[in-house]
Amino acid sequence: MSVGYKAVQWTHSKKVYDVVIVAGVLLYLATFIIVGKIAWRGDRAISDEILLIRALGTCAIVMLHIVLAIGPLARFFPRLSPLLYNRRHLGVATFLVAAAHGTIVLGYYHGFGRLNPFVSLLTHDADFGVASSLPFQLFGAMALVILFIMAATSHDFWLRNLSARTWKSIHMMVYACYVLVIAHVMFGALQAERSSLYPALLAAGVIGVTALHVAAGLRERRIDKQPWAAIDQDKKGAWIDLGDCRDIPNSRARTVCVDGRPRIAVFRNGDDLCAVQSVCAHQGGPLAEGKIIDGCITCPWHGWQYRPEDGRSPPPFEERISTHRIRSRDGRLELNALPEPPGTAVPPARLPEEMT
Amino acid sequence: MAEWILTIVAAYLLVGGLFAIAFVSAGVSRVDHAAKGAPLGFRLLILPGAAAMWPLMLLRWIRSDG
Amino acid sequence: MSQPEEPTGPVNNAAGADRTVGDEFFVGYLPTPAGHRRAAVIAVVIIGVLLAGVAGVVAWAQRDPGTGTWQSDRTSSLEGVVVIAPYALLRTADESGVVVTVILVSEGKFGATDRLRDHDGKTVRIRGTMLERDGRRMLEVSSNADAVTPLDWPVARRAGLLPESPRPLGRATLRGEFIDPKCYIGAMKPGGGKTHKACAQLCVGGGIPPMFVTRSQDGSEDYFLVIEEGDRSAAVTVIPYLGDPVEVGGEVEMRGDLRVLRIDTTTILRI
Repeated sequence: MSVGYKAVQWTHSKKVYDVVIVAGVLLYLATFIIVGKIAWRGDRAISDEILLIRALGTCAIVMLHIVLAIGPLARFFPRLSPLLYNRRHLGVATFLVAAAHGTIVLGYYHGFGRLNPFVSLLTHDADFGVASSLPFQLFGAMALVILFIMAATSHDFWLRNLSARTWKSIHMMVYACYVLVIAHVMFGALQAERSSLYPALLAAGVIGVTALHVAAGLRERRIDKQPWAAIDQDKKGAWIDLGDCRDIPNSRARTVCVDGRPRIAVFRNGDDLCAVQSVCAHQGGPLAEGKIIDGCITCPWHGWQYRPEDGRSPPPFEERISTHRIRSRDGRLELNALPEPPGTAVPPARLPEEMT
Repeated sequence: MAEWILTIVAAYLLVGGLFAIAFVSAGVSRVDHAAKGAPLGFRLLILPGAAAMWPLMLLRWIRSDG
Repeated sequence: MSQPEEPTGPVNNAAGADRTVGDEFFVGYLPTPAGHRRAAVIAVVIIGVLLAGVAGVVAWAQRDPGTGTWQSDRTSSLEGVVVIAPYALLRTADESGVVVTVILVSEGKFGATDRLRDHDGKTVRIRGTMLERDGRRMLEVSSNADAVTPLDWPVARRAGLLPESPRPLGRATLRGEFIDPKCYIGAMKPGGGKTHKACAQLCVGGGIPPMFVTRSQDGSEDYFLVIEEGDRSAAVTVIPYLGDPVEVGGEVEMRGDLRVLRIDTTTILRI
C-alpha cells in the first residue's frame, strides 16, 4: 500500500502549535492559582485541591470555547487557517485538562466515603424536578465521556476506519458536549458562587460562540443559494452556464452549487478550467477555498492534494474525488452538474480568447 | 442500579482493553493495510479508541479475513 | 490517507508564480506565509491576554471560603464526657474551665457515633486533629486503636461535664443551608454550596452529624446541630437538601454551648 500511519505526522507548524497549547494552558493555570492564592489567603485560603479543580475546570471551558470559535473564524479570516490546521491537538488537550479536573473531583468529593466514588457520582441524591438540585456532575461526566470519545478517535486511522460519516457524527457531538458543559456550570458552580461576573462571562462565551456559528452558517447558505440554473439537459445531466470566468484568479476556484447537491469547485489553472467536487476526501474540507500548488489542487484545511485533471492524489497517495465535465459552447463555458465517478479524467476547458 | 451500570461499563471496558491490546498488535494491519509495520507510537495512540470502539473494530477484524 | 507529509507532485520551487505575496495560502507542511504568520501571532497574543485575563478575573471573584482551619499536622488530646444524643459529642472544659462541646467525627467521611457508643456518658481522653470555625470546634478522632482511653475521674470532676437539661429558645423558621460540618468547619474550603453537595451527602450519609447554618446581613454565621423529633438523627431527612438554599421550621434549644435545631420534617422548603 501507500504511506503508512505514524503516531503524529509532525510538521514544523504542528510543533509550534503544540508548544503554544502547552504554554497557554500553563499560563492559564498559573495565573488562576497565583491570583486565587492572593485573593483568599491566611485563614481564608481556598483548599489547594479546590483551587486546582477550579483552575482545570475553567481552563477546559475556555479551551472548548476556543476550539469552537476557530472553525467559523478561519472561514471569515482565511489568514487564521494556521489556527485551524492542528485543532485536533487542541481538542485532545481540552480532554486531558477536563479529565484532570474530573479525576480530582472524583477523588476529592466522591472519595474517602462509604461508597465507591463512581457509585457516589451516579447516585448522589438529586432531584431532577428542582433546578437547585439537578445533578450537575452527571452533566460534566457525560461531557467528559464525549470529549474522551472524540480524543480517542481523533487519529486519521479512525477517520478512515470508522467511515467519514460515522467519524463526522462522532465529532459533531462536540456541540452536545458544549451544551452539557454549560448545564454543568449553570447548575453547579453558578449556584454556589455569588459573583455576578460568572454568569456574565458564561453568557458572553455562549453568545460569542453562537453568533460566530450563526454568522458562518448564514454565509454558507448565501453561497448555496447562488443562482446557478441549468440551461440545458442531456443524458449526461444538467449543464450550467458558468458565465464570465475571467474573474477567477489563477490557481484559485469559484464555488458552484446546484440545488442541494455537493458543492463544485471550478479551478482556473492558467488558461485552463477544470472542475471537481468541493469536498476533500480527508475531512470534507472546502476545496473551492483551496489553491493549485505544485500543479495540484490543495485543500485549505490540511493540505491534501488532488490532480486537477482527474481528481486523483499524486502517487503514492490513493485518494480520489469526483470530477465534473466543462465544455465550451458558442464562446460560453458550461459545467455539468452530474459528477463523474471519483478519479475520472476529464479534459480541461480552455478559457476563450476574449475571456483570458 | 448504579452498581449494575458500573459493572456493565467496567466489563465493557475490560473486554475493550484486552481486545485493544490484541487489536493494535495484530488486528490493526488486517483491518487497514496502511497500518502494516506502523510504529509503536501509532499503536499506543489508537489503543484508547480501540478499547472504546471494540465491537465495531472486532466486526471489521472478523470481516477482514482473506 | 496520511497525505500531507511533504510536498508532493511536480516540484514548483518556493518562489513560484502561485505563491505570490498577494495570494498567500497556508499549507501546514510548507513554510507559513508571512501574512498568515503575522495573523497567527496576533491571534495567539490576543488569546494569551484573554487567557490570563479570564483566569485572573475568575480566580479573583471566587466566593469567600470562610475562616475554617484544620490542624491536620498536629495531634490534639481532649478529655471530657462523651455524649451520644444522637451524635457523638465531647463535653470538655477549655483553659478557663468553661464547658465546650466538641463534635466528634472519624477520619474520612465517617461519623464517630458507632465507635464511641459504648463510652456514652463516660469520661475519656480522645486523640485526633482539631477543626475550628467561628468558635465551633470539631475533633477528628484518630483511627489508631489507642485514640480513645477511658478515664477514671472522681465523680465531682465528671459531674461538671455531664449534659445539662436543654434550654428551649422557642419555635423558629430559619433560612440557610444544611451542611456537613466536617468540611464546612475546615476540612474543605469552601465546604458548602451546590458544588459540595455530593461530598456533603457522603459525609452525612457516613454518620457525620448534619448541621444547619444561617448567614446574617453582616456575614456572621450561626450553626445549629440538626436533630429530629425524639432526639433522633436527622441525616436521612436532610440528605436530599444538603447544599441547597432552604427554609426550615423547628424548635431551637441550647444544650450547653451547642445550639440545636429540632426540625419539623414537613417544613423543609427549597428557596
